[in-house]
Amino acid sequence: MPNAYVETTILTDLLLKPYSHKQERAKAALARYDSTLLPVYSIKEWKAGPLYYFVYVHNKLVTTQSFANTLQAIAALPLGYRRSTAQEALAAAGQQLRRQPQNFTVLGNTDKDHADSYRLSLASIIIRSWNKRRKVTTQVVQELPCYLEAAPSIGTDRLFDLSPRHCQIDEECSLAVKLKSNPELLEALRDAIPANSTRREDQKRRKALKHLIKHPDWIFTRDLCRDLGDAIYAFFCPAGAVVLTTNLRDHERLTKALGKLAEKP
Amino acid sequence: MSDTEVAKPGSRRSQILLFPSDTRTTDGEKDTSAATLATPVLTRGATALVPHIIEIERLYDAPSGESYKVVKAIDLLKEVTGWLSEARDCEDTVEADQYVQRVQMTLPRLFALRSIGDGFGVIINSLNNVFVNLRGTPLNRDQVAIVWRVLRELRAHPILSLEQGVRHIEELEQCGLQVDPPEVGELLDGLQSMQNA
Repeated sequence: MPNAYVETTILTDLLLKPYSHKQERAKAALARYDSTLLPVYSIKEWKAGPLYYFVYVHNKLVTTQSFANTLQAIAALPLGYRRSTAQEALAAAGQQLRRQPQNFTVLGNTDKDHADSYRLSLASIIIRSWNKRRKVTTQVVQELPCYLEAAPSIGTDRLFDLSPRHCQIDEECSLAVKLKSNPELLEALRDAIPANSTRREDQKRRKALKHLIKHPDWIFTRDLCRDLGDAIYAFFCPAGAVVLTTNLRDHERLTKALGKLAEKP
Repeated sequence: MSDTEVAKPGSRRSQILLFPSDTRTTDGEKDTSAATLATPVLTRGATALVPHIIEIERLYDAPSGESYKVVKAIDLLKEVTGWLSEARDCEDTVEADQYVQRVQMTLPRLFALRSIGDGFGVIINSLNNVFVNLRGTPLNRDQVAIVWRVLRELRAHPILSLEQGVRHIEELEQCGLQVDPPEVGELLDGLQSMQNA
C-alpha cells in the first residue's frame, strides 16, 4: 500500500473518540499503509478545532461547577449567521448529550459531583491526547516554523489555556513560498471548487487561492493559510501518498484536480 | 523514669496509660476511654506508652479540614490496596474478582475526598471509568497488579498535580485498561456532522 498523509479528522478520531468504532476504523486504516505521515498542519488544526471544544467544555464545567448548567450553556450557544463552526458543533453536541443524560459515566450523587467527574475525565483526555499526538503515525512531517506547538497549560484557576492556537500573526505563513512557486497547481485547485458554491468554506478557499495566484508578491497571512484548509492537503501530499480523511467529499475533488488520491479509513 | 528502665512489679510507677486504638472522638460525646489504668508490663522501650505501634494513618489524624481528608484517603487506600494484594494472591479468579469489586465499591468514598488534589481525583475518576468499561469482566492478573501499584503510589503520595495523576493513568492505559468515559466521543459527533455539512 502507498503511504497515508493523515488529515485532521483522522487524528481527531484517533485521539478524541476513545473506544468508538470511528477510532477502531482509523487505527485499522493506519495499519494498512507502509508508512503514515502526519503533517504538523493537522496538529495545528486539531488543536484549534476539536481539542479546543474539549477545553471549552472542560472550562465551562470549572466555571459553572454544574454538569446540568454546562450542557445547557452549550446547547444554548447563540444560533444565527454569525455563529462559528465551533459554536455550532458544541451546540449540536450539547443538545445530543442532553437528550441522553443517562448515558454519562460519572461518579457521585450531586450535580457538582457529576461536573467534577466529567471535568477530570476531560482534563485527562486533553493531556493524554496531546502527549500522544506525535506517536500515532510512523512519521511527523512538514514542520511549520511559523507555528508554536505549545502544550495545553492549566492555571491555578483550573482553566486550560490552549494559546497559541494559531500561527504567529506578524510573519508570513511558512508554506507561502512553496505555494507561490506552483501557480498552475493553485489554479487547478481553484477550478476544482465550484464558483457558484454557497458554502462559506468553499468561498473562503477560492478567495485565498485567488489571492495567491493574483498577488504572489503580497504577504500570505495566517488567516489566508487557514482559509485554504483542505487545499493544503491536496497541495502538500507527497508523491506516492494518499490523503487519509473521513471528509472525502471535500478532499476527493481537490486531490483529483492535482492527480492525487484521497481515501476514507 | 527513663524509656528503657525496667518497671518493678507492684510499684505505682509501673502503672501505665493505654490509649485506645482509635483516638478520634465524636463532637459532643464524652470520651471516657481516653486513658485507662492498665496492668503493668515488665519492659518498655521507645513504645513504652502504647500497647501497639501507632500506624501512620492514625498519627496524623485530625478532626476536620483537608488534612483530615488526606488521612481518610490514606486510610481507605490502605484498605483498597490490601484487597488488591489479596486479589493478586488468589488462585481462584472468582475470589480475586470479589476483592476487586470491593475496590470498585470504595471508589465513590474516595471520590468524595477529591478536594485534596486533582491528581488524586483524576486517578480515582479514571478507575471508575475502567470498571464501567469492563462491564463486569474481571481484571486479569497484570491489570490487578498495575491498579495495585498505582493505588499504592497514591497512598504514599496522595497530593499530586493533575499532570502527575495523568501519568499514572497512562500506566493503566498501557496495560489495556480503558480509562475514559465511553461516551466522550459523542461530544465531537456534532462537530463531525457540522464540518461535513
